[in-house]
Parts: sequence; structure tokens; C-alpha cells
Amino acid sequence: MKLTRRKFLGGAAAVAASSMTLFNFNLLTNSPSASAADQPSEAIKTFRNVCPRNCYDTCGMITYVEDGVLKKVEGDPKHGYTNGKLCLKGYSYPRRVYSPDRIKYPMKQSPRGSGNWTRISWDEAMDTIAKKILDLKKRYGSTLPICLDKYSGNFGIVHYGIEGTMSSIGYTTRAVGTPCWPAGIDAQTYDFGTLYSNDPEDMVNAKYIILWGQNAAWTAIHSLPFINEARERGAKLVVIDPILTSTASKADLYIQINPSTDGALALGMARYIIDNNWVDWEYARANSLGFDEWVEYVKKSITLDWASEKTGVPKDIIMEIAREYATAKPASMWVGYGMQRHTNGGQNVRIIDALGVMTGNVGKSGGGVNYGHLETWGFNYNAMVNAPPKGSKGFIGPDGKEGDRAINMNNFAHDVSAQSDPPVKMLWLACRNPGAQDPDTNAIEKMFSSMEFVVTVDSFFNKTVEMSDIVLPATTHFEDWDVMASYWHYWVGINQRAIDPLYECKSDVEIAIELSEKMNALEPGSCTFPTSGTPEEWLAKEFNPGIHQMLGINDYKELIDGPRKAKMPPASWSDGNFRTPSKKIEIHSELAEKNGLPALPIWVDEMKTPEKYPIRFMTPHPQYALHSQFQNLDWMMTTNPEPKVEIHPNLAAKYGITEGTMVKIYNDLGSITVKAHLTRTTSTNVIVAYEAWYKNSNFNVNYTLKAIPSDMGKQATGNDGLAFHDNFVMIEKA
Amino acid sequence: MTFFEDCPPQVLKTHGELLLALSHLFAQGGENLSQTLSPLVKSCSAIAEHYNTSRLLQANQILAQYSETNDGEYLVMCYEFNRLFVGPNAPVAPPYESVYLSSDHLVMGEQTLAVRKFYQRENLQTIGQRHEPDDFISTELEFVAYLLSRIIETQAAKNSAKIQLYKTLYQEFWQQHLGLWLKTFAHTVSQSAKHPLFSALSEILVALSTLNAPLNTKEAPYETYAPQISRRSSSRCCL
Amino acid sequence: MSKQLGFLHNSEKCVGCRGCEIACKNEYQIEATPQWRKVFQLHEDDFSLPTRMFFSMACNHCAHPECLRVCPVKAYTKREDGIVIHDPNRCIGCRLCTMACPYDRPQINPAKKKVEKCNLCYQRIDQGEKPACVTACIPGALELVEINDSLDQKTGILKTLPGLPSPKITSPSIRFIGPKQGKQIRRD
Repeated sequence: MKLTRRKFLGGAAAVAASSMTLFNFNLLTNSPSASAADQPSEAIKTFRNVCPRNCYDTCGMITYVEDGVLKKVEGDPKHGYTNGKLCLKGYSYPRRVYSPDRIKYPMKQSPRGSGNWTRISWDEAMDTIAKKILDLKKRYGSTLPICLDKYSGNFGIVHYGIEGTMSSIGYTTRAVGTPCWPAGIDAQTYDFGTLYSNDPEDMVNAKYIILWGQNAAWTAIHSLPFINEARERGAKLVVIDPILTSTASKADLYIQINPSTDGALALGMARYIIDNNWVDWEYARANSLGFDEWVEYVKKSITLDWASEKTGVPKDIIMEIAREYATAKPASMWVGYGMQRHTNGGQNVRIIDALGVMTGNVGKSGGGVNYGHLETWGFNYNAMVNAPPKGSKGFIGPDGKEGDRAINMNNFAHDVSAQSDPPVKMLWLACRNPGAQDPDTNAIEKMFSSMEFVVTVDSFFNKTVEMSDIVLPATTHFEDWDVMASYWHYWVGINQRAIDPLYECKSDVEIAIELSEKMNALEPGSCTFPTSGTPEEWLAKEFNPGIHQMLGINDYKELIDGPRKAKMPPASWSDGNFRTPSKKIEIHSELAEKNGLPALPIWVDEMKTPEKYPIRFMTPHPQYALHSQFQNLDWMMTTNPEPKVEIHPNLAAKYGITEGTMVKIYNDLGSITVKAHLTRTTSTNVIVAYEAWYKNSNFNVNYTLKAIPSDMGKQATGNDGLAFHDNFVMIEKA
Repeated sequence: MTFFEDCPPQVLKTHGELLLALSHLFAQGGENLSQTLSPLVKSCSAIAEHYNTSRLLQANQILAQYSETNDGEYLVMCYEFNRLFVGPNAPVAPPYESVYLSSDHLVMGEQTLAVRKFYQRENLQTIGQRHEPDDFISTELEFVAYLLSRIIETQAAKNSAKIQLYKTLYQEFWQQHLGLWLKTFAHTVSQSAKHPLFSALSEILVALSTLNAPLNTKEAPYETYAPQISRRSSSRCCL
Repeated sequence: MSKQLGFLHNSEKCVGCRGCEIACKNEYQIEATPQWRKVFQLHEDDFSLPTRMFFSMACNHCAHPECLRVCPVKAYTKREDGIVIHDPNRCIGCRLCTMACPYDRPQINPAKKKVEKCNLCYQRIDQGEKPACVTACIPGALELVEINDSLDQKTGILKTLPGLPSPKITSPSIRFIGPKQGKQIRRD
């Protein structure tokens, strides 16, 4: 498949020669194979794909294609972690690819937000975009008025060509950071040098498992068999979560902790472990810095009574889990991303890290303080790396270096609007739906309306597309070549082009090529993105000897035979080579201190509940969707037709709310109205609604969410995270 | 028996023009209505006059009115065209057969492949093979227009074997494909059209569908049989 | 009948992920509304502690299928291995079976105006494969089993769950391992 523009309406009318008719065809043409009608259907072909969503599991898939049509998807049995099974979202993929709702052609809206869309050719789309880029560059002397917001809609490596698109036109403004997990990343960066978790398949060796704010049943279901196997071998499962999730419902012990107090619980456990001398002094002292200093802090400042008061967990339970965790050997902890979405979230992860270190569970098979890893992501990012055109003017950073202008992805609306020299005038959105996912939706709407020009690449008509001038139709991963790694398991898989791109959909790299051709035609030298190469060639360029060696292959094509698991020990840090400045675990982190954080994993108070808004509104990940993907599909809309807010019956009674009542949830920022579901799976001061984008619905949990930063994230990801779960509201009957 | 039995070549030709005009209208999109409406009006009025059907005449009057409108109105119609058929919103009436007839209500369904096979019987394939669903309304309409043109050609050549072949193909394609979904499609359009042009267009599609349905007697005006057809197509899910 | 195939559902392992439900759809690409297999959440109040507990149910291929008994056109047959097959070609969409089935598992397909239901992937079984739902179950909560006395004599095997119709009506070929609750430290 060449990367040339496909013409849908054949320019020259074809004449069916064999039938010698004078009929002028526009859409039909001579079939190359004579008497093709008598030919049997093509045999079913199978392809290897990898689900590229922002998900722990990054499943290996087998795609069945007949006559060029994707018939069904199955799990890839050669994938040792996902083991031939998909989740409900994965099985729904044919609905996504062939949904009549897909965005099919480049479209232009005038004016933005009006719903007045015209179909335009790729050429016109590229011409309009290229001219706008060149116009902004001329007016402002640089491409800095152009801002890219790309994140996790597709985590395929070739999709970093989106960043490459921007690099190739000059220095631009970039939304930097990650909304998901940065506080925890920084916590592990301060402690261990980076995030690096055990192989999840190694959980089978754990004798005790604590899932800390982690709902694997919904967000990492393929880990459950490994947890179950450990349990069958005798391990106890403890789930600590403010919400009694599906995962928590299976636990031997479920602890409904006060939100944001996880560090206090860990400190209480640490105190009891010290008091009973279950500390692995040898491991901790040999491998870490500042351990004794922290032990002194715990002895001096922490009591079980305090921990119990703070967390809402009875003392005897703290003692029980402390004893069991410290003496199980090995004991595994899995720190979920939900628990770090607080103003003290990173600090809480650091405390939990220290708990793992003090019990000698770090570096051990069956142990670990597991959060995620990026060990298998060492690709070339070839599509991402492009030199700016000659003479490009950049932003002079605080370090005096010229480059892109970074703004905070987690306060996107505010930061875009705050730029003045030069202002941001144009947005390019790809793999990202800030209209649904960013905090303070009202602020997002306002910021979008202040833009001169908005380009969005997407597959479905979501809130962000609604607010765009031009939308470009994106391919699905079945229509692309790519390679995917996981931030949880150790497998890497290739993603083949199983079917031709539908309609006029293009991959992000194909779009970059089109743009480059257009820009250089309009102004030679204005874009450095290469204009050649097939999608498979672009994929091939992502591999390097390091990746080959890690996966035990000589060529990327070997991955077509099956995904490969990285050759790494089952336990992270088992070599004791930590990647901190001191090469040891830094219980005392000077880097943290330099960044204005406590050097030690000490308690930092959680955000106070405001008097006016006494109810915490938690908006965790949904079961039927991944952020704003999947829930809009018909199967999901049938099984889960509408959003609901989970309210404890006692809280509901206070406001006269019964099952099915429409509830207005509001604070100073905004409000949403959603149907109540009464359940004791939540507590009396926490209401829960799962974030998602429902088809033809304005439901969006982020209208009341302030862009309050979590405590960490800057060090490793450029910006602090978001305290998604410190969202306080009032409720009333709507 | 269908409408074209004993139909003079000139009328058949007009039928073909109507099919092609509709095909072009959907293929060229809302952006080109200023070019595609007039040919539709022309062929439609010829058909309406020939059969002397008031509903079709009325619908065609609306089309005629909007075929000579101003640029502003054309834009409004273009936006509505895209809202109904194209997107980027989930289109109200996606113009693909399998969306209406397959149990999945997806594109690229079994009907798409059946249509592909049908085209292959005439050694034809779509230019957008494997990108654009083969059962796109414009392609199906172009295909039947082509079959009709073959009927005319073979009639002129007095090739009775070929005449029968193309008549059979034409009837089969209507019975197995266009005839099964065009009314449901038209109904979906008329249910949510916010511009009179598209209600009129829907009327024309219904008329066309009825006209092409098998008739018991050639004298009977097609409208008589509309309810019968409608019952049959109502067994299909209306989106 | 030489044997009776059926399902064993382990509510202790089932997390309500709905993989089975959607894998069934993926296998047969059935339209949105009919749900041959469906995951049900057990009532929170049926347990001493609040919980999210589930069971998954398709056609139970009953020993005494009511659907088969009431069908006026003999669209239902029972195979030697106990699988109850529904033949859409015979079905006239009268819905008697949907009313007779205590489990509401024959599903009307509104587009086809006919009933459809789980045929226990008999084509797969005949080829030595497992049903699509069983293959898809990630926590291993759903198994294909032979329903017989030796299974019923095992400890922990239940013939029904709270809230389900009495198994005496149709002798459904499904067995359960009941949900187990751990300890909960709660704030209410």
C-alpha cells in the first residue's frame, strides 16, 4: 500500500471494456479478474494486532479477515500475559471499525461549534491547515502559536509521529505531562530512580498481595488469573480502596479507607513493624539511604491511634495487615493510579515504597511495590524525531535553551489561555479528547472558543471534535502498522495492517506526510517531515539492536509469529542497581527536597474537605469504556445505556434521593445531572460516577473538577499530576 | 413483470437518468447539490409526467425550487446532507445497505459482500474497493443504471438472450438489494430531515423503490402497491 | 440422551467483567439487543455485607426444556449430548418460548422477528473446542461440564443461587459455586 492519496471518486470515468458498453462509470470499474463471481471467497486470513489503548493489559489480538473484511477478533494465545483472551472492550472492536458512526472524511466546520460541517478533500484540508500554519508563522515570527495536545488515545510507537509532525514544522507549544499517573511515577523516581515493577506474571509467587487503590477487575483483568493462582497457593488478598470495587468484592480482606490517607495507613503499619522488629534491616540498610532517619521519624511521629483515626481503619486491622505483610515473605503490593490522584498522592506512594523497602520486599520475586514500568519502550521514536526547519524560532526556556514551549497538560485550558508571547492561536489534537477528559470542562470550552483554528484527528464525533474547525479521520489500529509495548507486562507485539483503511482514514504518519508535502509546496523548506515510506517501513524504523536483543529477535518481522516477552528478570531491581543519583534506594531523597518536597516519606496532610462542598466526588475508570473510547459503541450502549452516580443510602436519604432519582452534582465550577444508584459499595461521604463518553450525551464528570495539581509529577513527566479524586461537591435532587 | 416490460426505450432511458442523477447526488455530496440537483429534477419530472403521479410531481417541485436557490441555501442544504448521511457526527441515515439489513447494523456486512459478488457477475468492482463499502447507495444506483443501459442496448440490438439476462439481473438486484432497504433508508431520512429538500428526496426514493418493485399488472399505478411493499420492508429494523 | 452438557459457573471467581457476554456476541456478531449470554449482578441486599457479586447465564440447556415443550413449530431439538438447539428456519417468532423459559434466555431479535439463543457453540464442541464464552473467561469462572450425579455430589456445588427460579421447573443444566465474602472494614 503506497502512501498516496486515494481517490474515492475515480477522476476519469472508467469504461467497462469487457462488456463494451458506452455506459460512463463513476464508482464502478472493470474487475481485473474475469468471472470473479464464480470464485470462492478468499480463505480467512489471520493477522496479529495489539490493542493500543491506554491500559495495563495491552492485549495481543488475532484478527480474522475474510474478503478484506474484519470478521472477528480473539485473544492471541501466544501472548503469555493476556493468554488468548480479551476484555469486553476488546471483543467489541469490530463494532468500532465498522460503526456507521465513524468519521469518514476530512470535514470542515463553519463556524466552529455550529454543527455546520462540509466535506473537504484531503488536499483542501492540508492546504487550509498548511496555510494557517504558515500564516501564524509569518504573523508571529515562529510556530509557537501552534499548540499540540496529544496523549494516550493510541499508545502505538509509530503514533509518536504526531509529535514528529509538530517538530517538523518548527518549535511549537506542547501540552506536556500525563494526567494519569505522574505523582506515582515521581514517587518511584525519587525512591528507586524510575518506575520499574515486577513482571505481573510473577505475582503467582506472592504469599500476600495488597492491591492498593487498584481495581484490576475493571482495568487490568488479565492480571486476575495470576492473583488467583497465588491465592490458590495460599496467598491472602487485601484490597484497600475507598470504593468496594468488583476486585475488592473478591478480597479476603477489604479495607474501606478514608480517601487520600493511604500513606497514614502505611505509616501505621510501618510503626507496628518497627515495634515488633519485623524490619529487614539488612536489606534496607544495605540498599537504601536515609532508612534509619525515616525509622526515627516513624517512631517519633507516628502512632497506631493516629493512623487509625486518620484512615478510619481500626487499630487491630492495621496491626493484622502489618504483621501479615511484613512476615509473609514475599509479599507483593500493587499501587493503583487512583490512589495517587490526590494532593498528597505522590507522597503516599513514597510511604508505601518505604514499606516495601523496610520489609525487604523490593527486588524479590513475588514481591515489589508495583506501579508500572517503561523498560520495554526503548524504541527509536523515529517518527517523532525531526529537526526543525532552518531558521525556526523557538521558545527560550529557563535554562537558556531554545526549543518548544511546554505548557501543562493538566491545566491545559488555563495554560493555553495564559500564553501571550506569542499567544496560542491554533490547536492540533490527536489521540486526545480534552473536551471530555480535561478538568473544568467550562474552562476548556471557553479556551477552545478563543482559538483561531482547531484541528482534531479522531474516529468518532466526541466533544473535542464538536469544538474543532477541521476534523481528520483517523485509522483504527487494524488499518495501521505499529508496535506496542505495555507499561505493566513485559510483552511486546507487532500490529499488522489487517484491513485497508476505510473511507479516507489516514494514520498520523500518513497525515504528517500529506502535511509536509503541502507545506513544502507552499513554502519550500517549511516542513522537515519525510514524505516517503510505506506504513510498514515506518514501523521497521522503530526497531534497534537493543530492542532486538531484549526480545530475542533479529528482525521485527519475527514478531509476526507472535509477541515476545522481554528478557528481564521476573523481579524488578533484583540486581540492586537503582537508578537514583546515589544508585541506592533513596528513602532520603535530596532530589525530592530540591523540588520543594519532603526529603523523607513522611505524612503530608490530605486536602481538607471544604465546608460548602462536603461530599467527595470520585470519578474512576469505567468498566465499559477506556476514558472516552468504547462506551459510544452500540453494544456498550445496550448493556450500559446511561451513566449513574453511586450514592450511599444514608447520604441519599439526607437529600431525599431514592434509586433512579436525577441528582444534580455541583460546586463553584459547574454541575452535572445524573441518575442515582443507591449502593453501600461507597461510603457515606463519597459519591462515585465513572468517567466516560456516552453516545449523544453531554454527560461529563469533569464539569465540577478543578485543575488542582497532585504533589508530584514534574521531575519525570514535566508537570505535576491532577488531583482528580479531590473533587468536592454538593448534591441535590434535580 | 416489472415496470420496464414493454416500456419504450425513451422511458427506460429516463429511468436510467433518474438512477444516475440520484447516484451522483449522493456520491458528489452536499457540497455539490448545485450541480447534482438539476439533472435529478429533469429526469424526475420526466418520470413523474410519464406516470402522472402527483406525489412525485409535488416532491419534484420542491426539488426544482431548491435547485435554483442561492448560495446560502445551498450551504444549509449541504450541512443537512452531511448531518443526515456523512458526519462527522454519527450520521442519521448512513447510506449503506448493510447498516439497514445486516443484523449487526454495521458497514461491510454480509450484504456488502453479496453486492460485491453481484458486481463481479458483470466483471465490475468499485473504484474504492475495500475502502468504501460496496453497498454505498450511489454505487448500487450506478450499478442498476448500468444494467438498465444494457437492457436498452440489447433491445436495440434485438439480442433477446441478452435482453432477458439483463432484465433478470436488474430484477434480482432490486429484489435482493436496493428494494430491501431503499424505503427504510428513505423513511429514516424523512423522519429526521430538517430541510424540505430531504423530505422531497425521501419521497423520490420511495417512489423509485415502489416503481421498481415487482408488479402484478403493468397498468396498475405503483402507488397502489406501496402499502404492500411497505409491510415487507417494515420487517426490517428502522434505525 | 447419553449425557447432559452444561455450564458450571463459579461466582467466587466471576468479577462481572462481561467478557463472556461480549465474546458470545463477537463469535456470532449478533446485533446489539439480543443477549444470548448475560451477566447479572446479584442483589447487594442478599448478602450479609454489601458486595459486587455476579453470575453469568445463557441458555441452560435444561433437562426438561420448557421452550421445547411449548414451541408450536418444533424449532427446538435436544441433542444426544443434551444441547438444546433452536432452529431459526423453523421459528415463526411467536415468542411462546420467551414466555415459558423461567430464565428469559430465548431472546427475540427485533430485526429478524425471530427468537435466537445460545446453542452452546455446538459447532465448536463438535470440533473439540470449548464454547466461546468459556474460552473467553479470564478468571476461569465459567466451565463446560457434564451435569451428572458425581458433579452434584461434590461439596460446594449449588443447583441455584438466591433470586433464581426454582430448578425444579426445568432442571437447568447449570451448576454454581456460590460467592464467598471476605472480611470488610467499612466506614458506614
